[in-house]
Amino acid sequence: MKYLTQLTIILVITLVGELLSGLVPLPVPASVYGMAIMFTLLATGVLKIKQIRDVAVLLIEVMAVMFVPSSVAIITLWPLASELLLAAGILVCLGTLLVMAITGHATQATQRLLATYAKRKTRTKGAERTGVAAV
Amino acid sequence: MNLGALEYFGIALTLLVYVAASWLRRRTRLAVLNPLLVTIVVVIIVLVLTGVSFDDYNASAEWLTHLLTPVTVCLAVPLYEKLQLLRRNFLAIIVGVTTGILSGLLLTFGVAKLVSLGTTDYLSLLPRSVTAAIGMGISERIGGSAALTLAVISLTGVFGNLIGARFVRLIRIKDPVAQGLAIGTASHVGGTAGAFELGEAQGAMSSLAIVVAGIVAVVLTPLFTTLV
Repeated sequence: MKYLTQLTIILVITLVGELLSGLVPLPVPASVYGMAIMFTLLATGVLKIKQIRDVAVLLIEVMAVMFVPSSVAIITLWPLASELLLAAGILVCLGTLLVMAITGHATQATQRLLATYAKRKTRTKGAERTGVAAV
Repeated sequence: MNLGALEYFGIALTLLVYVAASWLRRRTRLAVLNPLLVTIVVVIIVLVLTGVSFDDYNASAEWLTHLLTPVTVCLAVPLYEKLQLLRRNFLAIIVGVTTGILSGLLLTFGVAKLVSLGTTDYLSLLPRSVTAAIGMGISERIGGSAALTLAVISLTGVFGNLIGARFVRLIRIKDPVAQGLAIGTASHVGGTAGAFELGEAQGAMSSLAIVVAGIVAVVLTPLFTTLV
């Protein structure tokens, strides 16, 4: 029963997410509502992590394989116009690398800026001994 | 006997190839043998050789696609377990993800201009890095083709899964939070599966990036819909 209960909780939350996605006139998909609900329930303690963890971890572990059918679907779009093929190829490869590089470095730069700022603030207050490294 | 008529052909084939590919990768330790990529290629080859149509294959394999929504819901679990990390890095997360999504949209615009892409195709490519459920929603809303969007989104996920962990280290993104965000923003759930290979923190931040990037994309993408 343990796994069935966990699966049921996950699917019911997914269903509520789907309902919200249908009712609320915003372009927010069911999965995001569901994730927000799940997160809120966990954060407020209504739902204990052990009540869903095993099945959640199992699903996350096999997540990659869920992309196979919709990727195989490219054969139905064949033959693609050459300019589309070129654009899609460049974007899937170069675009992914670019977004990865920029996101990562922008995050690191912001962290560094904030750390420097926090350090300066502690120093001006003359509270170096108690200063906690803000990372 | 038509294989495509079998109810379990698609799903069994997909899982069998994936498990075999994962085993092969563990045995050989060859990074190019990415299980996801190998599975897609092998399944396509099998379909072409056996003459089974994609629709017949998908009638069975679609089960796996249906799991994408609940698994995205479950990503709240690693996120919750890494709550401190989220709190401490809130501003850096917002800045990083927004900058990343913006650069992706600008590049899509530039490439579309460069190869003189048609408007529908351009609009379908815009939500390329966003997770499937959100990206398809955006695509439909701005007038793209949802099927084409889903295919490029999936391929982006596959590519991110393939290179993500190695690429972030190569370009000296060292902080676990930044690594996870970079992978999740650029390649959503597909890349996140790979981010977990770097560590729990990277996986959790990548999961978070999926949601934040999705929301940022919902807001920013409509600004790029005019191709002039």
